[in-house]
Amino acid sequence: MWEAIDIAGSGAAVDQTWIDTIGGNVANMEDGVTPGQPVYQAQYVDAGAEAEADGTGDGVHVESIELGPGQGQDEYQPTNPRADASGEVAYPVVDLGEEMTDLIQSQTSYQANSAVLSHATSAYQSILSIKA
Amino acid sequence: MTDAAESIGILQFALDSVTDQQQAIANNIANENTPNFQADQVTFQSSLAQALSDGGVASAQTTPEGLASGSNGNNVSLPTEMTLMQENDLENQTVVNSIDGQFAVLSDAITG
Repeated sequence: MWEAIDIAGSGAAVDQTWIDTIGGNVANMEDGVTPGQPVYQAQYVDAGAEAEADGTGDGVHVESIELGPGQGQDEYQPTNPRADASGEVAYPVVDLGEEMTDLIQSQTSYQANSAVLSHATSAYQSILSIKA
Repeated sequence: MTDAAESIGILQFALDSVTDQQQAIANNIANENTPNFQADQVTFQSSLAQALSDGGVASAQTTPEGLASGSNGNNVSLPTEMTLMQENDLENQTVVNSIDGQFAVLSDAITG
């Protein structure tokens, strides 16, 4: 029962994970390390449809979280204490433009799921109000 | 001529179908960003109209919406789903009001 509410909840949960990874990616994009050291790898959420039990679909889940390149991009910053012998510092590969676009998309999706939630709630309430 | 019990049976089918339809719309919206997801729709109106005219049994069908897919193989259109959701809301209210009306008729008949 209340499938539409569960489905909208599953959608909002995936969006929440998506927004969390965007937050992590943006927060860590300036984490410079000495080249050769492990650099922060950006996280990308892959969604997967829930297997359909009765033909009308059962929501969505996080299928996997893909990682960005483990190899940072070097920048010449000889005064940075993390610079190596040749003055290079490795930064995580994070595209801020892409992250911001994803943020808007995930926000829109979250809003759509919460709209479904309130529509479904009022529809169920109207059904519950049926009485002889 | 259909009696009240028969009408309530028909309306019950309509309410079940409208609820299935709502579930399909919710699922399409939840999967708006799922790679290769194809949107489904639930239709029952024509089957119900057919059944009412020839006395057969109505059923709800789940079929692909069949819109064009984007670059990630997903074809969910948020504006389409939002529109369908509004329509579904009104259908739900219509059916619920009709059921209430049928019960009111029965109730009147019983209490006189």
